[in-house]
Parts: sequence; C-alpha cells; structure tokens
Amino acid sequence: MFDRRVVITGIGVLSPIGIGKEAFWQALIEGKNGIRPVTAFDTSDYPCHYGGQVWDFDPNHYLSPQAAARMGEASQFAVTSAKMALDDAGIEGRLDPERTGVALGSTNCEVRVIEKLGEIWNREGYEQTDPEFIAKYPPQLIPANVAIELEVEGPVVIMPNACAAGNWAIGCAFDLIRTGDVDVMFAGGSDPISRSAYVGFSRTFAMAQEFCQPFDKNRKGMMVSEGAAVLVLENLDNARRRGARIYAEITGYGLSCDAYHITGPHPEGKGAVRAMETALASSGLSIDDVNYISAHGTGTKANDKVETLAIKSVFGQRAKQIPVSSIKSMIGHTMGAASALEAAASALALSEGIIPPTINYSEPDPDCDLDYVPNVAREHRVEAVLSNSFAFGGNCSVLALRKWR
Amino acid sequence: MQKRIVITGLGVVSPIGVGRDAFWSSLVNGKSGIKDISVFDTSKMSSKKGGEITDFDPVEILDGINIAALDRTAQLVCSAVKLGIDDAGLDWSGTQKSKTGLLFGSSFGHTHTYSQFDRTHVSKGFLAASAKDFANSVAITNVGHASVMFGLEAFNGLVSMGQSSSLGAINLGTSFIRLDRADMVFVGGVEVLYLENFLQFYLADRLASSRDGQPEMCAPFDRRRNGTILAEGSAVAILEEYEHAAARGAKVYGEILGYGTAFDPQFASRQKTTGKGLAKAMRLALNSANLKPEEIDYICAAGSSSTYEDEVECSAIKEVFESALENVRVSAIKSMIGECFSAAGVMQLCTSAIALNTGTIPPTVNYQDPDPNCGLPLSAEAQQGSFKTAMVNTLDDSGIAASLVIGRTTGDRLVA
Repeated sequence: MFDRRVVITGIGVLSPIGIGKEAFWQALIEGKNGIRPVTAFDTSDYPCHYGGQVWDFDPNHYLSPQAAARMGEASQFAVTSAKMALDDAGIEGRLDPERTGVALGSTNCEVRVIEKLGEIWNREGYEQTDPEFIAKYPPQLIPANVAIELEVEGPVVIMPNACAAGNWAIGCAFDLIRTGDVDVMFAGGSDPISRSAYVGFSRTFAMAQEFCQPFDKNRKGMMVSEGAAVLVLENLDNARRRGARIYAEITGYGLSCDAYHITGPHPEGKGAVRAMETALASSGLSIDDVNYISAHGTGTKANDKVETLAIKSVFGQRAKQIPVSSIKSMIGHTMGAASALEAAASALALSEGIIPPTINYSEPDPDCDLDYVPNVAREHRVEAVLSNSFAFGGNCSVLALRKWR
Repeated sequence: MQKRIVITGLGVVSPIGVGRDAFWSSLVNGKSGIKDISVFDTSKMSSKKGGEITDFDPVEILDGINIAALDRTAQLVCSAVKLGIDDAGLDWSGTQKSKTGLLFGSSFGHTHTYSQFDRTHVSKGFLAASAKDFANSVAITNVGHASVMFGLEAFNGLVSMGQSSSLGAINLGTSFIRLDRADMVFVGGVEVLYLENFLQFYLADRLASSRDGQPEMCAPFDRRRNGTILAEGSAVAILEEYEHAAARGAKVYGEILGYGTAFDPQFASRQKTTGKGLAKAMRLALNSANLKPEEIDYICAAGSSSTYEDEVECSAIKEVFESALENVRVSAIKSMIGECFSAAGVMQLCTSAIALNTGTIPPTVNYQDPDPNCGLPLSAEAQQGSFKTAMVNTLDDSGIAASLVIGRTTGDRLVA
C-alpha cells in the first residue's frame, strides 16, 4: 500500500552563502563563510553582532511587486525558493494542481511582521496598528502563498516545529506521495532572521561571536541565521515518465521527542538515537549502508557533544569511519529552514559525490571524536545519508536519503 | 488491511466548559461562552466580545505538577492533554511512552508571547529578556511542555493550517499510527485570546460589530451575521489503533473513517463563493471513508458567522450533498464558542463523537433569521435521533479547507 518511491527532482535555495542551487553548492564545496555583521536589526545593545542573512535578497527580482508587497518575508523566501525548485525540476506546465501540495517548516513563521507590529506598538501605541499585518502574519499564509503562486490545489500545510521543522515537512510530504494522496510536493522550510531568537540565544549564552565552529574544542555557540529551501519531491514513476533529473531518493525518516527538557537535549541523546534508528529502519538501510551524516551540528557545547554520542550509539565502531559535517559552520543556524537546506545539501552530495566541509575547525575536542570533514570538501562516493535535526522541546527529526541510480 | 483508528479519550478546555461533560452540557443546552473580554482592554473598539475562558484553573487540573514555566497557551495544552488522559482511563504513571506521540494544531498560539518578549527587550533593553519568555516564544514550546510533562516520546509536532489545523493534526496522527510510528497519538489544537490578534481582525473588519451599527453576535448562517467572534481554548482527542484500544478494554467514542483537504486559490482571493476547495475536501473525505453523501447523518459545520465563509460553506455542502441534504442534520458549534481557529476542528470532532454516542445534536444558537442564501437544515434547538456518521468541516481564510468523517462504533465498550 505504501510502496511508491519518492525522489528529489528540483532544488530551490536562499542562503547566506548564495541564492539558487548552483551558488549554494559552489559555496558549500568551497567552504565559504556566509556570516557577517547583522544588518536586519540594530545589535548595538547586544553582546553579539554577527549572523547570517540572505545577503542581497531582493524579492522584487523573483516576485511581482504586488505579490511581494502582500507577503511577509517568510512567504517571500518560501515562494522564491519554490519557484526556483519548480524551474530546476523543469515541470513547467505539467503540474496537476489537484495532485500537488505544499508542506513547509518554520520556527516562528512571519517573525519580522510580528516584530514590525511590536515596534509600532512600542512607539505609537496599539491604536496605530495597520491592518495590513493580518494580511501577512498568519503562519498558514506561507504555504498558501506558495500554492497561489505555483497554482497548487492539494494539501497545504506549515509545521512550526522549530529547528526540526524542515525534516518534518519533507517527511510528511514523503508520506503523502508514498501513500498515493499526491504525486508532487513542494517541501522544505523558510525562516527569516528573528530578532527575538537572536536576543534569546545571546541572552542564554548559546551564541558565538564572529563565527560558528561546530565540533571544535573552542566552539562558543550557534550563529542565528536565515534562509529557505524548497525541494520538489515526486513519485518515481512520475519523474521517470517525464525524464526528470533525479538528485536522490528519499527512503524514510525518523521522528522522536526526548520528552526530557523544554530547551536542552537529553544528555545521552536518547531522542536523537531513536530518530536515527527509525530513519534507518523505515528506509530498510543498515548502519553499513550510510556513508555520510549531515549533522545538526549547531556549534553549541551541548548539541555537538550529544550528537556525537548519539551517532556513536547508533553506529558503534563504524561511527568513526563515517564522514560527518555541519554546513551550519558556513551558513549559521537557519532555524526551521535548516534541515531543508541540509536536505538540499545532502541530495547534492549524493548526486555530485562531494561532501561539504565543516569550516572553522581547528582544535579537536575529546568529546567530539568523529571525522567532521574539517575545512575542506571531500570527494566521496556518497551512497546513503542521514540528515539530522534536533530542536527545542527535545524534538528530533532525521531524514534518510539514498543515491539514485 | 488498513488499520482502524479509534477515538478513546476527549479532553476539552473551552469557553463553554472545562472537561468533556461541562463542554457537552453547555452545547446541548445552547449555553454560549461568548462574553465581554476581560483579558485585554477593548474600550477603544466597537467589538468587545470573545469566547474567553474564565473558569479555568490549570493548577487544579494539573494537580501537583509545577506549571511555573508555562505560558497560557501551554497551560491550555497541558490541561487538555491531562483531561484527555483521565477521560481515556489511561494509567499514566509518569513512565516514558516511547510509542505515544503528540500532534497539535496551532496557528497563533505563540504569537502573543513572541510579540511580548520582543516588545519587552526592545523597549527595556537586552537584560530585560527573560529565558522563560524566550522559550515560550518558540511555537513548538506550546506542545513541548506537554511532551516533557507526560513523557510523550514518539514525536511532538505542530501543524498550522489556520482553522483547518487540528483536522490536519488528526489526519497526521491517524496516518502515523497506520505507518507504525506510534500506537497512540494525542491530537488536538490550541489558540489563545490576545490583543494582537483581536486588534488585527478588528481593523480588517472581520469581527462581529467591527463595522459600526452591526450587532455583536455570533450567528452562523443567520442573516444578521456580520463577522466572527474570536475565542480561545484547547482540546484533545486520543487516537489509538483498534486492537490496541480493544486490548486495554477502552471506551470507544468512534472511529476515524476519512479525511480530505484542498486548497482553493479563488477562496483565498475572496472572489467567488463556489466553495470548490471545501467541496473537494468533503469528496475526498467521503471517498476515503468509502461512504456516499446519503450515508452521512450529521455535519458539524465550520460556520463561523463570517459573512463570506458561511455562504461558501453552504454552497460547497449543497454541491456535494445535493438531494441527500434532506436527511442530514447540520449544526455550528461556533455559535456558542466563537472562532478558536486551530482548536476549532478538534472541538468539532469532540462534539461529533459525543453526538453520535448520545444521539443528540447540539443547537445552533442565534439561528433565528435564516440567510436565504444559505439554506442548510440547521436548528436553534437540540435534535434527537440515531446517528452513525458525522462529518466535520473547516474552512480557513487562507483557502485551506479540510473535512473529516467519523463513525460510531457499535456498543459502548470494545471487547478484547
């Protein structure tokens, strides 16, 4: 009943290291750092000043002025990425609207809209609020805007599952195709940079200063960032029939919850272990099949240590032979978009045979003793990937992808 | 064969009552929970009413559990989950539940805490930012508290489809049990009343009495309706695989039979009233339930008292049901509760499940001057009968429609 196979046939990306699949991938394999002083809001009162933004993004370059004007930033990101993914997939004119859907992830959805509203309240009082905000901030408008712009009429949903959101959305899209509900899904994540996330993580001492150093002994924390990625997922028969280029196959995914602490991870990575194991089991993959792990790797002391423990717990002796890298070293933590961007990177790693590096890595940490592909991309015949994402609430989601041949 | 998914527990925290029995008693007696709002100042607006919960004590419900870290949204979620656990007769001894998951609909549940956190540190400085408010400003924390509190380890997720959110969560929970991702899923929804949202809907002329001179009433499908009344609340339904429920001798309210969802771009632009998206969602739900329109006994309508949406829902129902509409009962519970978006669908599910079991359909209050453009078989009085199947409709402003079909299981208790 659930035997339809699901492949990735289109990729659209907005990231601090590049706009569009080509620029993103080129920057990833060059090990480019996308972190700079934040310009989206004033950081002078904060202890940190750096972050990631989709530098030079101009929505009017991708959307009609009317469409751009009626959307919040998260919608603009999502629609732009989805349009790029559609172009990349080359299915113009062949979409069946009733058999196509949109599933996205985000952490807090239209944060910039809520922040602008708050600025007006602070300055002039709430009576001065402009009713245009209601036209922009409801979370469901983000996938709905994608559906409107791409003329999609199937399931439309956003899952605000924090930093695990992108994999949730991609996983649920995978299920919808596999069970035959739809043939094509636009799936991914979108998160504009959040001032409050920036303040919150700075305030709780989880932020790095100028660069993000996942798994390094001297890592100082995460780097708040923004971005979006949308993938075109398609059932295999559909993709074959139209002669589509296939980046990779999605084979399964795992979800779990630590149910341990509201913000921090379980000290032994209990949820992370179960999510990875479920991703493997649901895919019919063994630990010997996986030869790349796209890490959650935020660069915080706790995450990187626990993630390393969890990987060792799942893969045992084999863990040290598997390359593990964190692209957050280059793009920062794009929150709800992170696992979508990492799924895009993983699909490209599978199709190109190159693993993006963990940059800013200089000193090994005894707590983090795996092969993190330090600083330089590596040619590697990637066969199967686990892409990890872990979030607030002990929320874990892990996607499994396999090389298509 | 596809696994059968049944409903074995209901937990409700609503403007018309806390707990299943209080909720149902208000519904069948036509007791409205819409009142003058006390949680924020409405003196500068012509709309003043909301479905506010005033008799809710989370400390009492969550007896002995520390709730200091919870904001109001999380208090509603955790309380509804606890009420659901108690109603399902589950032994919840605090051990971790690796095959139980949580899926909630929420669209605006985090917005107020996010906005308040942001406004506070912007106006009072970086050091005024509190770690507690930061944690609660993140949407997933709404339900993360409940997963930590009750040891729900299978998954912890939110679905946002506006008014259709909790039906999306119910469908996902059903699908996750069928895919063996869980044995039991707590599906639900939550929304909270707060000024940010209220003011936005008010300024957009979407609330009853937003426009001067209109009565401030929630009157779905009635000629006098002129906008929605916002509400808050949380509800949970506990879903289990049939055999799992039978093995523990669970009380079964009903069975999830079918679901459909569709997006209507024309609805989003408010240009037509054909209800294409909702009609498609209802047809998909009927198809997946393997039922014909004439086999549906009760429609628990989206009916939110919105001038536009109610008319769209009517035309969609008439298009799908045609002559079968003669034998269907329709009611709109939002006439008593108001519009609580992501919590609405699951409250409609709770209503439908109890309606099937008691043979009683709640009234649509304020339905006194039927809108001739609507023409659905509604009643301002409760109705009795024998009902086997129910359909729940939701229709969000964004254009996302969803429909769920449930059926009564025979007998009060399943026999293992």
